[in-house]
Amino acid sequence: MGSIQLKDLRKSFDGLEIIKGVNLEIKDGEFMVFVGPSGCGKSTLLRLIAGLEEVTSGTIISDDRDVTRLQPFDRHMAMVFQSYALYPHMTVRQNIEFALKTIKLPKAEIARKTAEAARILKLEPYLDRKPAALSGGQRQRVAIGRAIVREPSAFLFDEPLSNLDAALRTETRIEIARLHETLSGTIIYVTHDQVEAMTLADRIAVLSDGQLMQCDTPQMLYERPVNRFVAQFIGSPKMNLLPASGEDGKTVMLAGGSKAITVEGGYTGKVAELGLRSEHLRLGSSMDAPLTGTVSHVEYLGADASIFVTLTSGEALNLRGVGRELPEVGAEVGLLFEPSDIHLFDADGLALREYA
Amino acid sequence: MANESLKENRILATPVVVFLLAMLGFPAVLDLIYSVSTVSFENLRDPTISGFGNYREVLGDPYFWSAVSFSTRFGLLTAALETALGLFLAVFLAPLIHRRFWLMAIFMMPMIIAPSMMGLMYRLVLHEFVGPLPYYLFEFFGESPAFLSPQLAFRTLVVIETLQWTPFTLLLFYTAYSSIPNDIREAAKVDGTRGLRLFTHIELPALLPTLVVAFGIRFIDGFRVFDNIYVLIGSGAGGSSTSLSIYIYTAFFKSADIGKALAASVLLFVVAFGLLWLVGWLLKKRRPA
Repeated sequence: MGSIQLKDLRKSFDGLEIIKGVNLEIKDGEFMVFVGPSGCGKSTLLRLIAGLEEVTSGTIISDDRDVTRLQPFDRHMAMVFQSYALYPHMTVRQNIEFALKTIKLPKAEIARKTAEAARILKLEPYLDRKPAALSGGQRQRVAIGRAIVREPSAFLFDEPLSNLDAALRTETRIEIARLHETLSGTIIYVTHDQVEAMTLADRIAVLSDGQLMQCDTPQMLYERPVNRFVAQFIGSPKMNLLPASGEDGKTVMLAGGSKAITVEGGYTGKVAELGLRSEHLRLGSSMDAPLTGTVSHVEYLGADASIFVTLTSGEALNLRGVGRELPEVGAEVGLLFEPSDIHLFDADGLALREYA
Repeated sequence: MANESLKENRILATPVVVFLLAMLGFPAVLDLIYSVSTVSFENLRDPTISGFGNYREVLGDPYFWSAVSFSTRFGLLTAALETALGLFLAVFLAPLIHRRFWLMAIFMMPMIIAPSMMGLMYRLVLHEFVGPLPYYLFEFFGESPAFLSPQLAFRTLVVIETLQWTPFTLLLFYTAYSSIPNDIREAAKVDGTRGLRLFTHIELPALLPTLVVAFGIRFIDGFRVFDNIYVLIGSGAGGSSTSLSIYIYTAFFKSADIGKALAASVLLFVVAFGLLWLVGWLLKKRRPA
């Protein structure tokens, strides 16, 4: 009822290719998040699916129906805009009813659906207000209400939380997650915020420069990024990368290191970089640690601390420490890690590790 | 603190208040005094207060009422035509102007011409013997309406005024139209609204305040019309094109009926002020609480 397929989708503006051939299958009822840095084309991709931009080439299939050239409305999708795009001269009720009135639904039906949407979104007290008299969060809910009354096959959200303040953002994020459970509809959600992406998504599609880098569950993206871009984009702070070498498929050697690290499960290709997430690094004595350096800076965060270490080789790393056990700035430390936690990339940034 | 800023505000506002009092207040007071006096060019400095005789005379003058009727009809009709035409052109040409904004400069051309020059120009263009328009009409159709005759003067003037001032409403509407956030249109499209319904339900309500302002400004401007009519045909045969302004001018300078002219001008002022207030009230009422 709400599956969407993108087949080699391309979009050019004035000869400049913005979307460079995206293939993606979104399952019915799935919460799909498009994430990527600004300018990666994620919003454009959403607008192509919505029908607000014309597709240059490729196809969009919605429920086995080719909708590539259809008008936005005929795609049976509803969109929630970043600015909410509420009709300023209409009351909340009129805003929500508008689409239903356009298709000339019977009055009783319109009233029933509007009441239902208002109940789900707790908008009942505001139905007769104009958008100008609402707070950001309330406007957001009106925008969602306008989408759900249409009972669309998919909801498209374009950075819906970016105009809310931090506290409200968390709250609304949870509301959206709950809404997805209630409505069990397909959702495509665009954001540049990886926390939103990780917390909301069934699957995340990471985009960069108009191309789909990886599409998988949050866990898989985090644990098994397919390339350096995804590895560094997902996760905060960024994954540490260190120059390394190795091409025997079993062991790698850190640049300037003395001991070979045995890679569990092996790898294929020629290693250029070794990646380590900050929480997979531990402080230890500098005696027999594979990495040594000095603490250059410490950020205390309460439970955690972000510790910046400058390695003897000159590279800068950061690791997650415990808030109650802070090292001194300038201390000589050794860094320990489990070989199973490492990520390996070749010179082009492709991930090399084989997983069982 | 509050008193402090009040004092500051008073000091800062003083120059403009003094300026307005001198430039507008003084003539207004003089106007009021003269309007209730017996006054002519001989005793300008020493008018005799004589009560509301001037007002009675004005209100009893059929020419005054025909001038009021002319001004009202002229103002309403031109304002309506200019607003409708400007709105249509703004929406219709918006995609074109959006891409080639220099076109706006061409559309603005009529507005740049002084209205009296406009009157002069049309006097030539429409002249029965030397005007190119009647000439070609005779050439092609064998006859031409007498554009400046008392029967047609009103219509001719309305067309001329509309042609000159539609660019003004076009500019207003284009600006308002292009400031409607595009995502509202997109939201409406996703909601299945397009074409006429998009215009009537989404865009027109957004343009409504501009519509009221444009109509109001153009009505006031049309109501007090003077120069182009005066240059084109003067007060017309039997007062057929006497606007209120022309009536006042004629009474003042031609008949030296200063008291009567000023009484009429006070009436015009009251009406204009009332209309302005009405427009302001309408706009305020529309704004959400």
